[in-house]
Amino acid sequence: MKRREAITSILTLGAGALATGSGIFKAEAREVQTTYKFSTYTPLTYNFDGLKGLDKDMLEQHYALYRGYVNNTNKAQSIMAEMLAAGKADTTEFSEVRRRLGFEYAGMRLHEYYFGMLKPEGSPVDEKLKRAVSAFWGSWENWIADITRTAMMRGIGWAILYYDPVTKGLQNFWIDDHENGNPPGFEPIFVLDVWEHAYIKQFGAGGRRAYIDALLKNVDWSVIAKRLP
Amino acid sequence: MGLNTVYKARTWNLSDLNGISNRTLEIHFKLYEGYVTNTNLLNEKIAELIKDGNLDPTKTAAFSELKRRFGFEYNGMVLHEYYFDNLTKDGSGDPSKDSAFYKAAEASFGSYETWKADFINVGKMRGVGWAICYQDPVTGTLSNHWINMHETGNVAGYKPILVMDVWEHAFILDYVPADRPKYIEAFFSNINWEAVNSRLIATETAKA
Ligand SMILES: [Fe+2]
Ligand SMILES: [Fe+2]
Repeated sequence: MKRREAITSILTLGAGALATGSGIFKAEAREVQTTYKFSTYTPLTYNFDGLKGLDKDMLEQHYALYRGYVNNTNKAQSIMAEMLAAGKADTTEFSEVRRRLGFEYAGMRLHEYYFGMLKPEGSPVDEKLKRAVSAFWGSWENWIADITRTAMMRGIGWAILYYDPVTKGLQNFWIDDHENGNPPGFEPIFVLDVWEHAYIKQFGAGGRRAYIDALLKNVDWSVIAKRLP
Repeated sequence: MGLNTVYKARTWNLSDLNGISNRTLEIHFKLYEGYVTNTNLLNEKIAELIKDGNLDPTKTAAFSELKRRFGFEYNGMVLHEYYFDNLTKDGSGDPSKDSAFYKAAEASFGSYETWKADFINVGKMRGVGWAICYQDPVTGTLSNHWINMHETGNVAGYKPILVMDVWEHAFILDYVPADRPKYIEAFFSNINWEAVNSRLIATETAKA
C-alpha cells in the first residue's frame, strides 16, 4: 500500500480559503480561519471485490467506519485550530478533543494498514518476510499460530506484528481499542482488526477464529514484506 | 468470596423485543455466558496457583495477568445481568410520573427529559462500552456515566440503576454502525421500569 499523503493545510487568519501544498487537495473538514497548521487527511479507497470467504457488505460497512475515523480526525484538528485561535484552548472541550486524538488517529491509520493488505485470494508468502519472521518464531507456521493466538485474546482491538527499528526485532502485540498498547516508534507490519464490526455480521459472535482463517487467505504478503524496512 | 465461588449463567425469558432482534439476543446471551465461563476460569486458575504456591507476582506473571483480567470478565458478567434484567418485551417507553425513578431523575437533573437527553448522549459516545445511570448511595442522586469496555469508569460503591450496552454486538446485526441512536431508541422502548425502580435505594434526597 502506498503510504497516505498527509497534506498540511496552510490556513491564514482572515484569508478564509484553504491553500494547499499540492493543489489536489479538497478539504472535507469545515473551513478554519487560523494560523495553526494541522494535517488534514483524505480517506484512502479500496476495492473489496473478489475477496474469498469475506462478505463484501460487511467490508463496505467496515470501510464506512474507517471514513468516520478520518472525518473525526479532521474534525478534531479543525476544532483544535479554531479553539487555539480563539484563545479557548484552556477548556474541558479542548482537553476532551485532545484526549481522543489517540483513538481517532489510530483508528484511522490502523484501518489503512488493514485494508491495504487485502487481496483476493492473497499471494504466496514472500520469502524475505518468511525468513525475517522465522528468525524469531522458528518457522512461518509458528508465527501464524502466535498472531492468531494474539488475535483470539479476550476483548476487542487489534493483533499487530510490530518491527522494532532499534533491535530490528519482530514481536506480536495485542492492542486494546485502537490506541492502547502500540509501542512508540515501532513499525506496524501485519495488522489484524478483531473488533466485533470486523466479523460478527458474517461469522457470528463466536466466529472470530473462522474470520481470522478467512482473512489470512486474502492477504497480499508482498505488501506486508514491503513494510519491513 | 473468590476461591470457591462458581458463578452460574442466568437465563432470561426475553424475545420479540421492539427493534432488537431475537438473533441479536441469542448471540448476546451466548456472549454473556462467555463472561461467566471466563470469570469462573480466572478463579479456577488462581486456585491452582494458590495450591502450587505460585502467587508472588514478582516471580510469576500468571497471577498478575489473571487478576488484571478480573475487571473485564467480572464486569462483563455482572453488567450483562443488569442489562438483561432491565429489559422486557412489555416496555412502556418512559416511566410513569409517579414512579421512584422519574422522581429521582427530576431531583437530580431538574427534569426527566434532561436526564434522558444526558443518558442518550452518553450512549452515543465514540468507542464501545456502556451507558450507566448510577445512584450515589450516600446522597441518592443519579448521574450518567460512560464505561469504556466493561471496566473503565465504573464508580466504586455506586449502584447501577439503568444499564445500556453499546458494544457493537448489541446492535450491529440490526442496524448499521452509524445507526446506534436507533438502537438506543429501541432500547428505551423495551426498558423494564419496574426492575429499574426496584434498584433505587430510598434516601432523603431521592424522596425529596
Ligand atoms: Fe475496524
Ligand atoms: Fe454486551
